[in-house]
Amino acid sequence: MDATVRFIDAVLDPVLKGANRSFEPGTISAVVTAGEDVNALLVRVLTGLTRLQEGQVLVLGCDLGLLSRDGQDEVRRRIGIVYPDGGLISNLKVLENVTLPLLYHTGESSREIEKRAIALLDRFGCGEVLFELPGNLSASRRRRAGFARAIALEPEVIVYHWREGGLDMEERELFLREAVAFHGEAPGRTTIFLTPHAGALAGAGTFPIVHLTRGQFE
Amino acid sequence: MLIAAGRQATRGLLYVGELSMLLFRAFRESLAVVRHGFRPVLRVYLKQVYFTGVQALPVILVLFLLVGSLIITQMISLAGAGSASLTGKVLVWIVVRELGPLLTAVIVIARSGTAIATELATMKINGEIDVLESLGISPMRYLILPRILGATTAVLVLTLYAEAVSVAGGFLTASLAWGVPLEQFNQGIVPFLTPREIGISFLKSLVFGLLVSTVCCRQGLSVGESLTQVPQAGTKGVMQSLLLIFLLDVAITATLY
Repeated sequence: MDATVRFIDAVLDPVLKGANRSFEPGTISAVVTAGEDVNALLVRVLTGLTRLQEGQVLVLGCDLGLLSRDGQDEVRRRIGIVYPDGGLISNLKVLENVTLPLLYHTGESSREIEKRAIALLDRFGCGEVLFELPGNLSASRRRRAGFARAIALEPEVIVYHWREGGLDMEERELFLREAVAFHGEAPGRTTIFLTPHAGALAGAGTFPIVHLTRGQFE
Repeated sequence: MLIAAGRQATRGLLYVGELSMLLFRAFRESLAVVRHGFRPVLRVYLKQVYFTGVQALPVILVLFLLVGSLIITQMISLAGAGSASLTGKVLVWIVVRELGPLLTAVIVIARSGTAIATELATMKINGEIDVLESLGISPMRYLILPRILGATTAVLVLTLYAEAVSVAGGFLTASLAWGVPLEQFNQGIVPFLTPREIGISFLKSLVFGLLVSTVCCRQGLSVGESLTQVPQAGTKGVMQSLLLIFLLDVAITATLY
């Protein structure tokens, strides 16, 4: 099982300064960072959109920087990112946002894909807004729809760029419960929460908390 | 003075190089579309054809009906109603050779060029292009290729409609206002509608469609992080498209006629 994220002497000034850390298959981890900008940068590093100055980040055993375009896309398909604002494509309706990666990466029929997407959106309480554009939704609904899209391809690694704001207590708990439940749906799935403070994940259960301070995982 | 002109020329060449590279990269992705499936790309392509072509059709039809009428009215007032074959010939020359492709491209620039540039610029500033990449979806394949193909298809088809409607408008005006019979009008049109004339008109609209869509995509993708760059991308896309289509029109006309 290679569902692992591994930082090896990773340098990206000023966030990573020779950082080393492995996130093993089947684990849930929280990385506490200095803020949202750092989280956004880490997401870019994990998806290969930002290159390290030195060192390596291996995701699912691959250094994205060394892969061809198609190779990168193949690895990215296996990583789910849950963005703090949902990360939905603004000119696509909610249903289209969820069907997009499925249409792009799977050979399933359009009917099957729509059925799957609707079931996912129903699971996150977005069944009534299938044909709305993201701009017409509340922040909470956008995030939930983004969550549905992130798990549509059943990724082996899922990264939550976590933001507490925009969700009330009940929504936050539901969100975290779903995240933990999704983690348990496939053995070996790696889940990483990127959060500005560990308290934001209260209620999600107990798992290792790593602090990214002075460019090192501690 | 010479140095400034040299700098300007270098910038111009670099710009043309960038456009060519963008077009090349987009078309290289079409091979991947064939390999990986075309469903999401086809959806974007059809939407682009709808917004650029179908929605612009009423405007094009009305405009070119009036253009045909105006040209015939001016020609008959200049040469008299008895010279219907000459007026028909002039109509074909002006509309099929020049106004059809050129005016259609101008309307597409005004309607869709700005839309393409501002939409892509907004997507880039909102981080949506990065999101697509993180989903393993190539923006070049999913966003740029279908927009270029869709807008070019729309320009080609709109030009055909524009030219047909313009000739029809000219005939209607000649017939209703001056009683020119269809046979006489046709004598001035049919012999001049040669495959070469139609081919050059097709070539122009193909080049204009590719150019307008590529320029506007390039402008949309070139924004940084500030929202104020969104309208600037739209404006620059329009101005550069206009300049380039007129330059290319002159070049094609000078080369082929």
